[in-house]
Amino acid sequence: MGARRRTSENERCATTHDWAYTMRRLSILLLASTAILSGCAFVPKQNLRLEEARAAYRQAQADPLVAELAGNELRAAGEAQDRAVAASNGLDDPAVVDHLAYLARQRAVISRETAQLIAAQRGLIVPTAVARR
Amino acid sequence: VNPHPAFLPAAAWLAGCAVQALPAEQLAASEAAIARAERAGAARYAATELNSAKEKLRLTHRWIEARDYAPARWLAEQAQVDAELAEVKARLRDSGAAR
Repeated sequence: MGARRRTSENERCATTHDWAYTMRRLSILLLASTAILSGCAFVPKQNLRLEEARAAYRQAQADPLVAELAGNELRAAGEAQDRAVAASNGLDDPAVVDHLAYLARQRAVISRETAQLIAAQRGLIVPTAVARR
Repeated sequence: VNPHPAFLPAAAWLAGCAVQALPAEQLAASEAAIARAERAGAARYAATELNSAKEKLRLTHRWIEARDYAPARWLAEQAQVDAELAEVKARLRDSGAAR
């Protein structure tokens, strides 16, 4: 009798285990599909011009010469960059995002060229010369 | 309930104002930027950017003639940054050529 109860307990354990296993697999599947679907819905499409603008701004920001010699131009570039990103995040018309990203990219290039110009006018060539001042 | 017909033109005019207005200030800023670029020698040192700015300014006028002021504003804004870039490039190349 004891042996029979043990067997039935073992069987119950096995079915519970199967059920839990199935549920776990199902929930993982559900999570994965939700993640994929929400990814499709909420991640805005990459905008090529916005990526260009981002790269140009990062390049300008990374150059200490630009912050030192063309602070106003770099700030203007940052504001233009923010406007483009906001339009992209706000799911504005892609043409508007393209336009704002174009302005941002040009402003980033302007800040770098301005820094180079001022450096040339002051006779500075090496960026470390600015850092030492 | 219907509004008096006399209000309709006024309402349309106001709506037109709110949505898109003649970008007169922007146009002046773009023209000034192009003039500065030309004075800096952009025709010689930064022809690509200067020509782009001038072409966009020309298209701005076309859109203004068509009374479509939204693309006119965009083009004028792009013309301004192109001209500013042309100016600084011209100054940089000019200073480089001088030394």
